[in-house]
Amino acid sequence: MSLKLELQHKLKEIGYELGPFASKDTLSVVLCLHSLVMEEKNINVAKLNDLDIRKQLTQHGLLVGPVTNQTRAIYQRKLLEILTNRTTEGQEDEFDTDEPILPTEYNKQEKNSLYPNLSSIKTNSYSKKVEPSVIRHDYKATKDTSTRNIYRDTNEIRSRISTKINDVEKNIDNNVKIAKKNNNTILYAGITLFVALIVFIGYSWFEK
Amino acid sequence: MSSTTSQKFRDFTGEPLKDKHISEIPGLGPKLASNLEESGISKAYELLGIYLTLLKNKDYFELWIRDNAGANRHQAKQCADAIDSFCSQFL
Repeated sequence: MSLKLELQHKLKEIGYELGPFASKDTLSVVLCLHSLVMEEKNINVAKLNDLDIRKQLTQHGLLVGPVTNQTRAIYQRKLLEILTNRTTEGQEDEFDTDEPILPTEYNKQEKNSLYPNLSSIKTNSYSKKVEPSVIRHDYKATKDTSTRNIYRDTNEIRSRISTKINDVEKNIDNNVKIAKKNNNTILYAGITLFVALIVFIGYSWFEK
Repeated sequence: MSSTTSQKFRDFTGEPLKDKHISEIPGLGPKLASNLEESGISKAYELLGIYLTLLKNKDYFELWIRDNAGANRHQAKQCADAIDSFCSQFL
């Protein structure tokens, strides 16, 4: 914790107000890149006024909004990234949980220094959009096959008139449940109910 | 479509913000909400304002949320997605 406070203090002295919960990694990366930019290009990103930050970012092709108290930190980071062609994202401090769904946009070992950030973000967003549509397609396919199987089962029951009423009732429940989920199979539910009625009447008639 | 979204998301994107508290934003739980309150932010429309000031750039907004609320990547993404959906519906 004290290391983080030190880093925050240093950055404040230079002129960055990153936010109270920026991770240690991010803070140290910003420090590093700031000194890099100072040496190489003689630009003090922290001391640039709001208008200059905006001009620099638009010169490099980024679409940026107004630089306010809230947004200044973000745009300063972006400017550092653009000028040094490296990312300022660092690892999170604690509780670095697994990311099950998201593809990692930023390499944690900063190997993407050769590639600009913008193109990698765009490809990731396209891959995310593809996945949910594929999942839905599979779900629908399995539902159709299960309804057809139950229809064949009821046809077999019709040929056996002996004590199978319990099975028929179970099939009725299954069909009614499936019919509730998918309105297209109400016809199947009606047919099975009709068959069940015939079996029930036949059973009671024969048992007399 | 509703199976991939949570109830909180649907509640947030189904109606105008009015005076909702930041804890009603998907992705922000009680701890993150209290973190933001320490910085002086308590209403959902304040976060909406920041999102718009960043020109509706989800990545910049996620960075901002992570730095100012202590959210991890997943929570920040949920938050940004929710606010973006809200914007596409109501703005």
